[in-house]
This record gives sequence, structure tokens and C-alpha cells, in this order.
Amino acid sequence: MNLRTKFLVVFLSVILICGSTVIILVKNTMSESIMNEFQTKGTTIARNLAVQSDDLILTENTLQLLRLITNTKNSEHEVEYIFITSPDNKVIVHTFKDGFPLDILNANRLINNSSENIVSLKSENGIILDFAYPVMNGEIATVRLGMSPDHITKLINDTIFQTIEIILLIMFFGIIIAFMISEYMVRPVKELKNAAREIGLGLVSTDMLG
Amino acid sequence: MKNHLKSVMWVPVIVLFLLFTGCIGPKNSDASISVDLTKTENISYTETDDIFRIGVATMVSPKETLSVYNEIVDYIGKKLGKKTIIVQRATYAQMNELVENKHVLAAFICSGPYVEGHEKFGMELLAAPRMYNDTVYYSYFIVNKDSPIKSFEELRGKKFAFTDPRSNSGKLVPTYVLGTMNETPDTFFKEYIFTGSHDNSIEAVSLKIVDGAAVDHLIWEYLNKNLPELTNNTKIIEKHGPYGMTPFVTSPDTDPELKEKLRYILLNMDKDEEGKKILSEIEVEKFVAANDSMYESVRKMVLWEKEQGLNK
Repeated sequence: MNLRTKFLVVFLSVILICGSTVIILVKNTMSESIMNEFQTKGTTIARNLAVQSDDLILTENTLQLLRLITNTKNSEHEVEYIFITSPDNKVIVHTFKDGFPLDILNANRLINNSSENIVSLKSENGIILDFAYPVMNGEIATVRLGMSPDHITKLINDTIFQTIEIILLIMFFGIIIAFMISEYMVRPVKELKNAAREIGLGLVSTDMLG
Repeated sequence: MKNHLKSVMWVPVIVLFLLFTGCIGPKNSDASISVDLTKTENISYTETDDIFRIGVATMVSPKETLSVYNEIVDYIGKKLGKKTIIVQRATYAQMNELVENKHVLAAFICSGPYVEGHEKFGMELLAAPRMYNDTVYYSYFIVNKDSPIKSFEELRGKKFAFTDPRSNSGKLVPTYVLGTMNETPDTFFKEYIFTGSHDNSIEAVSLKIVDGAAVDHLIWEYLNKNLPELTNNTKIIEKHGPYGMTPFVTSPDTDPELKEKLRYILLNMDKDEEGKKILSEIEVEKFVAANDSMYESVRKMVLWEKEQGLNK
């Protein structure tokens, strides 16, 4: 491997290491903060529903309760489903149009009167974060909310791919610049090498003048 | 030096491998619980006969009602040897329908709806609470403590809050008082609202959403003692009454033996420690036998309201 190639490899390695570090940082810090925000949003929606639904649950106003959860689902595009269960885990109302998927009923339960519980569910529609939030400390019901983090994952992936594109662009220009620098650095060495070879072959007179 | 350079050459290869195999991509989801959303069922629950449903009219908001009546209802269930649950409805009229249709075994309701239910389908009295040494209660007309209004007459042209359209102290009494002044709510007030419960009316006055309201004096006194922040900003300008205490009722078709059991449980509640403790928490001394004559003053107003065509 000649000197120019070695120089290019080192140069590109530095770019790749820096780029990879940026990608890892973007992925870890950004995805964590976005995911935290996503979870906060889910908890906020569930909490609001719990606050708004207590009187409706207590007075068994199922129609208004259904309107409340349907309107909430329709106004938040990440929300996949909402349902409310009684303390004995019976479904009071839900937003599923074609029947209730029994699988999710027991997939998330509040543990020992905890204030909330979030679990990740893997379904044929992808990953869903399921939030369980108690209504009146779980005394009368639990709100269950499913939110799809698809657009969050897409946002993170898009950012990572944009970063990769920038790195590839830098690499492309880096190769050209590295080639020019290496040419600049290698040329005197090459000339010296050629001169040495010519001297070695006796092509250059070594007589001293004067 | 040559060996070092050879090692460095592997760096881009490793980094590219990591990038494209996804090791530094989004986290995988191995911790997720697998669920099948396509396996669905139409959910329906059938009501079991093992549960007794006890109705409570929302004289206070549903949350407060639950906290006040939960223990009494549990106590009744324990004495009957069956599980009991509280049933609430948004309006007094709906609760009367539940009693009439025997959707609830018995119910704590307001005096006005009792008089109407008794006339309509023979609603029966089981017991009534005794509070503050009496089995009667009053209607308080209240305004905000900063208000210059000193009498009901001064609420002319103002905004007023009724509780429920069928409430005695929260609607019937002020309407009757207006009747004695040859006025109706439509002619007297600039605007009036229905808050649904007495604590809501107190809050509406406290927050100056309305200029005045008529509320059950027992609820005002109870809140004044236990949640003074709700009543601190209100003052009483008039007191009307007395009226027979809000009763515990049942349908005339309820099994007579069960009726007697219910009556016995409530009338003897103050005789055991658990019952006494529950009663003291809600400021009730004891439950006493109720008779229809206790509600004559309310009946008089209900009949008047009907004659005037105001009972809508």
C-alpha cells in the first residue's frame, strides 16, 4: 500500500469515527429525550381522561364516556386505542371498532395502587406503548391508553439517515481534499526518491565544480 | 509503523459494518409483550343477582357522594350478607326511575323526589337520618361573601344557580318563594343555571359564577365544617324550612322481608361500633323511622308547582 492510500485511509477513518460518534450521540440523547416526551404526553392524556371521566363513570353515563374517549382518540394521531376498565377489570367503554382484543386486557395492570404503569406491547401494527392510569386512585376505574411511537421512531431514523448522508458528503469531499493534500505531501518525497534512484544509477554527475 | 497502519485500515470497515447492521440504530424491542389485536370479541357483561345495588341521588357531586356513602353501602351489604354497590345518576329524576324499575334495591334520595315518587308509584320510606338533633333540614339562600345583596328580593335581575330540577332545597323552595312574590325564575332572574349538585352550587357562588344559589343547609353546614375552603367565600342571606329529612326509600314491590331487613339495619346502625363510627364520620346521629307526614311541607310545594305548571 503506497503512502497516499495510507494517508487516505487514516483521513477517512477519522471522519468515520467522528461521524459515528455523532450518530450514536444523536441516537442516544435525542431518542431518549423524545421518548421521554412521548411518555409524558401519554401520561398527560391518560391523566386528563381520568380527571374528566370520574363523574361519568360514577353516574354510569356510558354514552358521554364513549364520546370523551372517542374524541380524545380522534384528536391525537398517535393514540391507537383507549379503553376504561372497572376495578374488577371489566371493560366499561373502548374505542375498538371491530370488537375488543382480549389480549391487551391483562397486558398492563396497575401494581399495588401505583400512580401509573407503562408497558411496551408488540402487535401486528408494530410497537405500542400502553399506559394504565387510575381513576380516583383506582377506586372506580383505570384508563388504558395505547400510543404508537412509530412517528417518533421515524423521526429518529430520519435524523440518523440525514446525519449519515452528511457524513457521506463529508467523506466524498474529504477524499478529494485528502487526495490533494497527499499529492502535495508526497510530491517532494517522490522527487527525492526519483533523484536518489537516478544518483544510484549513475545518471547524475557527482563531479564537484570549482 | 506498518502494523499500526494496517490496524487503522480496519476502522472504517468496522464502523460501516456497525452502521449498516443497525447495532447503533434504534433500540430493539425484546422487552415488549406480544399481543394479537386481530383476535377480538364483542364484550357484554350480564348483571349478577348476587349484587345489591343501592342508589344515591347526587345531592353532592358524584365523587363526594362516593366518599360519603361508600361506607354506609358497604355496611348494609355486610349486614345483608351480599355484595352491595353504589349506583349514581346525573339527575334526581333518573334515580327515581331506577327505584321505580327496581334497578336499585333502595336509594338515598331528596325529599322532593320522594314526594313525587310516592305519588307516582307508591315509593316507600325505609328510614331517614337524624342530624344535629333533628329530622328536618332547611334551604339556605346564599351569595358571595363580598356581595352587597342582603335578601332574596335583591337577587332580582341577577344570575342564580339551582341544583337539580327536582331538588327540594335547591330548586323547589326558591321557586315556591318566588311564587309567593308572584314571580317565576324566568321573570325574576336575568339568568339561571342548574349545577347538578349542592356543592357545585356553593362553588359557583364562591367563584362568583352566579350571584346567588339555594342549597341544602345540611350540606352547607357539613362542608363548612369539613371543607371550609368551599364555603368561606359564601354567606347565608335567608333560611327556609323546615322540610322532612332526605329519606332512604325503596320500591313498593320490594320483597317485604328484605324491606324489613333494610329498615332494621339502618335503624340499628348506631347500636354497633362499626355503624356508629360510619355515622359519626358523616355527622349523622342515627337513622330513625320515617313517615309520610314528615314530608307534608314539601308535598304542599310540589302540588303548588304542578298547579303552576312549573314542574318541568
